[in-house]
Amino acid sequence: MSDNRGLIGKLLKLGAAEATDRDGWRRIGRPLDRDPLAAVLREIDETQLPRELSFRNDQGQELRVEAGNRRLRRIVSASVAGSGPAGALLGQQLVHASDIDIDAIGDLLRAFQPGDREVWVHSEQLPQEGDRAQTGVAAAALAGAFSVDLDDRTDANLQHAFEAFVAELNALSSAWIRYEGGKQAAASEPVTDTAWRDRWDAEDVARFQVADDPVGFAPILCILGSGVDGEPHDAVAVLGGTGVVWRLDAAEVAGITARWRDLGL
Amino acid sequence: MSAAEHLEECRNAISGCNLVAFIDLQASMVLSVSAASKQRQERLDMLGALASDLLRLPEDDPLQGLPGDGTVLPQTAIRLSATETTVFVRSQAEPNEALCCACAPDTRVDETIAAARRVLPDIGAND
Repeated sequence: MSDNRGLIGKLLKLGAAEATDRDGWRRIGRPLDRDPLAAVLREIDETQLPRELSFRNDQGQELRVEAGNRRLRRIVSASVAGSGPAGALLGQQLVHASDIDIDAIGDLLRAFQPGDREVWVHSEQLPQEGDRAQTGVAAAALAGAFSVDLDDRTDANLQHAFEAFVAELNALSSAWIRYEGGKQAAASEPVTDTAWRDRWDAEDVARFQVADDPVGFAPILCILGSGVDGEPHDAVAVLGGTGVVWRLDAAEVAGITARWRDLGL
Repeated sequence: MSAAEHLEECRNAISGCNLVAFIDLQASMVLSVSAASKQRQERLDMLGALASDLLRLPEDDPLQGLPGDGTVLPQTAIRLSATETTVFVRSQAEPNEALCCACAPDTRVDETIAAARRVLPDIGAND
């Protein structure tokens, strides 16, 4: 079907790389967080020396904070700021965690919605501080207060969950083919349905990944068929440079999608 | 009811649904949309292209279809990303048309498909 395998191989390899810089802004999330607040807090948690962090999404919402020693020191500005406790917090130095209205911080930090596709950060160094090392609120404490798992979406966790899903669907399927780096890496034996086998080459699998997410490569699952449980479907899952396609003769569509989500994908 | 009203009714019927779009697959174009917030044209263009890509028509690629011998077209395409669950449902009466429902990640796909199938004949009747 495809005679452009060289190009698709490059695309798949690019998918495994960090292609997230744009004009000094870096896309955060590993790869995309379901809750952007996790990415914001993780960025603060990874900031040791004092820096001003500016966050923005592709809808124009912005959030600017000062951070250091893995703590939130000050919320400089936020698109969502209004009146009341959250608005009053803007610009204030956060000194002692016990004196700070955590809920108001949460209102300001939630500048981005779970549906936001891209959240970017720009980091600028601030002058070295004297005795302020322990001031502010630790990002880990904020994560605990907001029930956000900072390690929830690490690459390793995603890869582990993806492979668990692949193993489960391999067992359910009548045939499967695995592509890595644009080449077939493995297949069920035997793939007797040659029409099905010929329909799915590396390019067909990779297009599910590159269709709308050319910058970062989050895990994607697609299920094609009648949409009716118990009927035949094809499913494709991609993550980084790996793509797997399955032939499911009696798919439980709702169950498969629920399992994908249960695994945190 | 107008097509736009049917789309809005469908969006309201699906828990967590942010957008419902009526799409011409051959043109890869969103013909009408109901959304919780104003949508950028680039996003609508992307959804039109994605629908057309996933629910390919026979003339696009004679081998592309489901299942088995490649002569049966996919009637639905369910796409799960980290931030969204997107369901595409082809019209039974007009295979060149489809409904796209872009929803929250934890949206139930079976209920979304059912809601889309309920409203598609009504939208087609407004053509």
